[in-house]
Amino acid sequence: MTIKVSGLRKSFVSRGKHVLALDGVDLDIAQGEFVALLGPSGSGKSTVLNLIAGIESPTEGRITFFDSGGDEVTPKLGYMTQQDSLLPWKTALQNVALLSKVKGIGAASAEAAAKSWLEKMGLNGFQSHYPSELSGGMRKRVALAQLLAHQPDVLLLDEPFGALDAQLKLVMQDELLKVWDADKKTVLFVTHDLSEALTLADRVIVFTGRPGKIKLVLNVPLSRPRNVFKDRFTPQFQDCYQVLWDALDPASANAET
Amino acid sequence: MSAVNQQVEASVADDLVRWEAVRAARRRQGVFGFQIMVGVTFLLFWEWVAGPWVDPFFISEPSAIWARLLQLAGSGALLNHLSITLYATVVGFLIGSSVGFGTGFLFGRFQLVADVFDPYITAIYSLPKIALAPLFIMWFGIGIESKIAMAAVIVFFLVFLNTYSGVRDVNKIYVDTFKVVGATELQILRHVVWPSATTWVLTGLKVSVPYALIGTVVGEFMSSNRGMGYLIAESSALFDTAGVFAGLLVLGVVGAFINSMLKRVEKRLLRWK
Repeated sequence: MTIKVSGLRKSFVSRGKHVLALDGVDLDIAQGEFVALLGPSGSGKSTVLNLIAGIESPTEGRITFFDSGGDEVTPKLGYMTQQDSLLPWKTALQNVALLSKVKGIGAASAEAAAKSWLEKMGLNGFQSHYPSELSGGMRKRVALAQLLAHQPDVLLLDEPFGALDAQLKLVMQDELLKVWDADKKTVLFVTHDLSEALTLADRVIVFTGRPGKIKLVLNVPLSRPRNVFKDRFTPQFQDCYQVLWDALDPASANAET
Repeated sequence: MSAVNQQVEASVADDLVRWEAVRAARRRQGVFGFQIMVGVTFLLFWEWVAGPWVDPFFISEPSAIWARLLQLAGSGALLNHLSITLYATVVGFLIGSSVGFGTGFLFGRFQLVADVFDPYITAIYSLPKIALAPLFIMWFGIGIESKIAMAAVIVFFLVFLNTYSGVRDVNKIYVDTFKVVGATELQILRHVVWPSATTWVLTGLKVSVPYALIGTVVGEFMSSNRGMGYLIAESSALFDTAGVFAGLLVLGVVGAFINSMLKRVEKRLLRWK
């Protein structure tokens, strides 16, 4: 699945004022590419993701999806955010299986797939737990299983690990890379964490503050498979980090130091 | 060696769990014992005070109330009155809650409808529903219908408002997740909106059951020839204090029973909390 985004603009009215959130974004994403959208808050990176997800509609511009033959198709999307999307009244297993069922997959095979994904995430024995009975890290694993179990072609991730503590964040990044390495889905990953973007992505797209525009595109030279825990200490990583740091809005960079 | 260690640790943990259970059970028994003691003391005090200190005309006395209760039960009058009241309460509750739920869901899903009707709903809601009793008696007569209407109106508003809030309160992230996957509106209603609203709806239902009883009894006070409300009002008119207390006691027991049932149902439905 390749994605072509052209001339994307998004504006809305807030408190009687016209706000331009996105001002002309063009983006081509290749099949199996892992792309990180990086920027300060309010830079419209989440808006780009929500537009691609179809949750919001663009003011101007087009988003098209093509299959490997170059034909325009309706994509199978998976979506995960920082906020928990697990339904609190469903057990872990039910949550993971539900989205597959919604997509018309039979109950038996949906549940079998859900079980095997929960197993892969190391959640054996927690299938019939409700989200409120799971720890934050476990809930993220269930959410990840939910995201992958219904076989999407494109993963849209909006700061999925944003609320986790530093250590758990690395562990979850590692999990994500492992499953991504297995079948190389196309991934769009929104984050404001420079290290996270560099660790995960093939390409980092840096956005400016409002109105959001693409400021810089960085091809990450780190080899695959990545080591989430050690790559960050390599000189290549440090150089890239410097480039991204300089590219981010000076104002917000100052605010963060 | 480590296997042995683990076994020892496991048995220590088991002991701890068991000990916790024993402690909790003891505490429950203790609380129950005190509850009984408070009740018995109160009754003894009442029995003692009635007569030498306070005229039984006003407060009767537990033994007389008990005798009156047995007499009412024996003659079949109690069952007759109680069944009428419960029937009106249940039917009123069913009508009020189903209409309230339907309207609440509709208003929750269609903002325009809600906006148009909002001032009228607010106006009627602000009205003390009890004040509608005379109107219902004119419309439906002094029979059971006016009591059903009374209970239904009270229940309607409680369930309506809760359902409405529940439907509006659905977390957008759940809906978005389903939309991205391509779920239909019906699937979103079934898997997200409806279960999410259940918590609110259940609260509405739970709160409204006692109110349904209030509505019925108030309707019976106003004008009727049967029901617990009638029994109490009639006893009062005949200066039969023991009869008034007997009626109140029965209503209290029925109310407490209904509440405990509701708590159980709620606990089951909201296991995930």
